[in-house]
Amino acid sequence: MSNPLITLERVTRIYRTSEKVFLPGLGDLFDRARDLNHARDTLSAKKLLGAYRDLKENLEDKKQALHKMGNMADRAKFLKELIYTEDEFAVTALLNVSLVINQGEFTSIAGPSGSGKSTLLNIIATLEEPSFGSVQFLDQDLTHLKEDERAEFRLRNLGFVFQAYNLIPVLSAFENIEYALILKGIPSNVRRKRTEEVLKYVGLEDCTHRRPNKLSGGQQQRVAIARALAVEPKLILADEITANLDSKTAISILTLMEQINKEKGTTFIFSSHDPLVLSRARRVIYLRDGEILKEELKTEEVLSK
Amino acid sequence: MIFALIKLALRNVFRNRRRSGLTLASVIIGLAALFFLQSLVKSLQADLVERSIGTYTTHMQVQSIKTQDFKIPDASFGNPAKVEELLRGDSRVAVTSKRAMFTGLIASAVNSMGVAMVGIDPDTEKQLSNIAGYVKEGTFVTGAKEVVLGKIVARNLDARVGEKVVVMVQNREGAFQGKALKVVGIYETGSYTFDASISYMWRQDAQELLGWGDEINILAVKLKDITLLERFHADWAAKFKSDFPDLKLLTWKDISSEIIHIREFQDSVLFLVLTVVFVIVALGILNTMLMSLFERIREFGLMMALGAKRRDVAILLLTESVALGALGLFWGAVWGMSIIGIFHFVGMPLPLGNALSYFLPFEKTIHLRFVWSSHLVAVGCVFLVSMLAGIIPALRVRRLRPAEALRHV
Repeated sequence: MSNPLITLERVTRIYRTSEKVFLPGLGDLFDRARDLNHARDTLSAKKLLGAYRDLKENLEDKKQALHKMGNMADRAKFLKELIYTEDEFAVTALLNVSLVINQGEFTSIAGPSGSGKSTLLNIIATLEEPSFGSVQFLDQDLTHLKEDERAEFRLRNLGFVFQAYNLIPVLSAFENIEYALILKGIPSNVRRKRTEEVLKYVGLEDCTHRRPNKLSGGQQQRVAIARALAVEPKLILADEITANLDSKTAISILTLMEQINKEKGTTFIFSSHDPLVLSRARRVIYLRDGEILKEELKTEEVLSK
Repeated sequence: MIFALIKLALRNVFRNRRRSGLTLASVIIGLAALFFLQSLVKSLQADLVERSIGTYTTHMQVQSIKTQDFKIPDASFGNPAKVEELLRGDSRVAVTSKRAMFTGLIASAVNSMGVAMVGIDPDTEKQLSNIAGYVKEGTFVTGAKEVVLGKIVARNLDARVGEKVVVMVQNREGAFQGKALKVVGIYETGSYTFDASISYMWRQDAQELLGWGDEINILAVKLKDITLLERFHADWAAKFKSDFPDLKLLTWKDISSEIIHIREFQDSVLFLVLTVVFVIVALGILNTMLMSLFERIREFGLMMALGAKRRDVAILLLTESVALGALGLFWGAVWGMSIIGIFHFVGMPLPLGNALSYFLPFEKTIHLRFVWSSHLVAVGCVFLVSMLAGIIPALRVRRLRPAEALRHV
C-alpha cells in the first residue's frame, strides 16, 4: 500500500520577467530585441515570448497588435516598449503539475534544461512557493507557510545534496555535518556521536578534520550526503548531483544513496538528465516546458538489468 | 550554539585574510591613535589645570564682590579672619592663606619696571602653592621686608640675592608709597608671565604699603581633594550670599576661565577626530561585511536551505561584524595603552609646552596619563559602530530568498 509523502496538486510556477536571470537565453533575447538593427528577430522573439505565460490579460491584445504591424521598425519599437514594461511579461516554469511521491521512493525528475526540474524540486523543498496550486507533505499543507515556518519544515524533514556540493568552506567535513545538527538544536554529545556515525556510514571517517578544499569531488559529495543523512530526514532532494563527478564516483555515490534508501527508508527525489541517475531511479518523471510529459515506473527486473 | 556561532563567525572573518587584515589594521590604528590623542589632550588639560592651581589660583579664592579682574583683584575686603575661620571649620578645607596683591613699580639701583606683587603668608602659602619650589637662588619669603623676584625681573633690575630693591605703589589716598625690600630669593618657573612680572613679598608689608590695614584682596582656599570642589562651592555659595554679601567664592574655573575655553576647544577637536575615526572604522567594516555578503550569497542560500532562519543568518553576519570590531578593539586598545604607557614613563617632548609656558609654568615634556573614562567611551563607540556597520549587511541578508541565493553565481 502506498503512503503519500508529497502531494502536488495543479502546481503552476510563474516568474515575472524581472527574474529573467532564471531562464537561460532570455536575457540574450531581450538584448537582441532591444537592438533595432536586429529588428528581424522580432518573430523569433515572438516565438520565444509565446512560451512565456503572462498574468495580464492585455498581453494577448498587445501580441495581436504586434502581428498587425506591417512596418518592421514599428514592430521593433513596440516590442522594445513591451520588453521594458517588465511586469507585463511572465515566464511559466511549471504548469499544472500534479504529482504524488510516496514514502521510500527513489525517484528522478528528468528533462532538458529549462524544463522545470529545479523549480519542481525547489517547490517540493519549500525553497520557492507555487504561484497556483498546492503542495502537501504528509498531512501538512506547505503552500502558504511563512519563510521561518518553511525553514523549520526543511530543518525537520529535508536533506539536500547539490550539484556543487555546497559545503561551507571554512568548516571541516565534521563541522559541516555538525552545522545542520546545531541548527536543529541537538545537544553536543549527541551531535558528535551522530556526526561520527554518518561519516563512518559514508566511508569518510578518515577525513573528519579536512576542509572541503582538501577533499575530492566525490568525497565532498559524500560529506554532503552525510550532512543530509545526519538530520534523519524523511526526504532527501538531490539536484544534479552527478554533474560534477566522474562515472566511477557517480556510481559509488548513487550506490550509497540506494543503500540509504533501502536501509533507512529515506525517500529520494533526484533532479537530473544524467542517464546513469535515470537508470538507477525506480521512477522517472519526465518534464518538458514545465509540464509532465510522461512517467516511467521500473520493475525490480528492469532495474537489475 | 553561541560557541558554534562565534567559531563560525571568526572563521568567516579570516576567510579573506588580507581584506579582514586591512580592516582590522584600520580599526587598530584608529583606536590606538584615538587613545593616544585622548591621553595627550586630557594630560595636557590636566597639566594645565594642575599648574594653574598649583602656582596661582589654588582650588578657590574668596574675593570682594566688587572685583572685576579675578587674576589681580582690583577691590579689597576687610575682616578676612571671620570668613577664613568659618571656611577652616569645614572639614573639606585643607588650608587657607591670605594674599594682598597689587601692581606697582619695582626699582633697583640701575633700573625700574612694573610688576605684580603678591603679598603672602609664607607658611600657609607654601602649603597651597608650589611657587616656593621654583626658587633657584636664595630662599622663599620668610618674614618682613623681604622679596622674591622672578628671574627675568631680577635680570632686568640687575638685582641679586642680598641686594635691596624698592617697591612703589599708589596707596588708597592716592599718595605714592615706597618700601625697601631685601631680595632673599630668585625663582624661575620657565614661564615668561611669572618670571618677568610676578614677585612675592610679606603680606603685612604689602598691606602697609597700600594702606589697607587688615584688608586683603584674596583669600586662597585649598581643599583636601579637588573632586570635592563643585559640591563645596555649591554648599557655600548660598552661605556667602546671605552671610557675606560683600564677598564671593570663586573656583579656579572662574579665575582661569581661559583654561576652560582651551579645554572646550580641545574637546571639540577631539570629538571631531573621534567622529572621523568612527566613520572610517564604520565604513571599513561595512565595506568588508558587504563584500563578504556578496561573495557568500550562495552559502547563505545553502544555510537557509538546510533550515537556518533568515534571522540566524543575519545574526551570523552581525556576529562577524562585531567579531571584527572586537578583535580590532582588543589590539587597538593594547597598542594604544602600550603607547600611552611608554610615554607615561619616558615622557614625550611637547613643542606646545614652549607656547603654553608663556602663561604658566609648563614642562616641555609631558607624561601621558590614562584617561580611562574617555578610553572606555572610545571602546564603547567603536564597538557600537562595528555593530551598526553589521546591521546593513544583516538587513540585506534577511531579504534573501533561499532559491535565488542558491542560484547566485
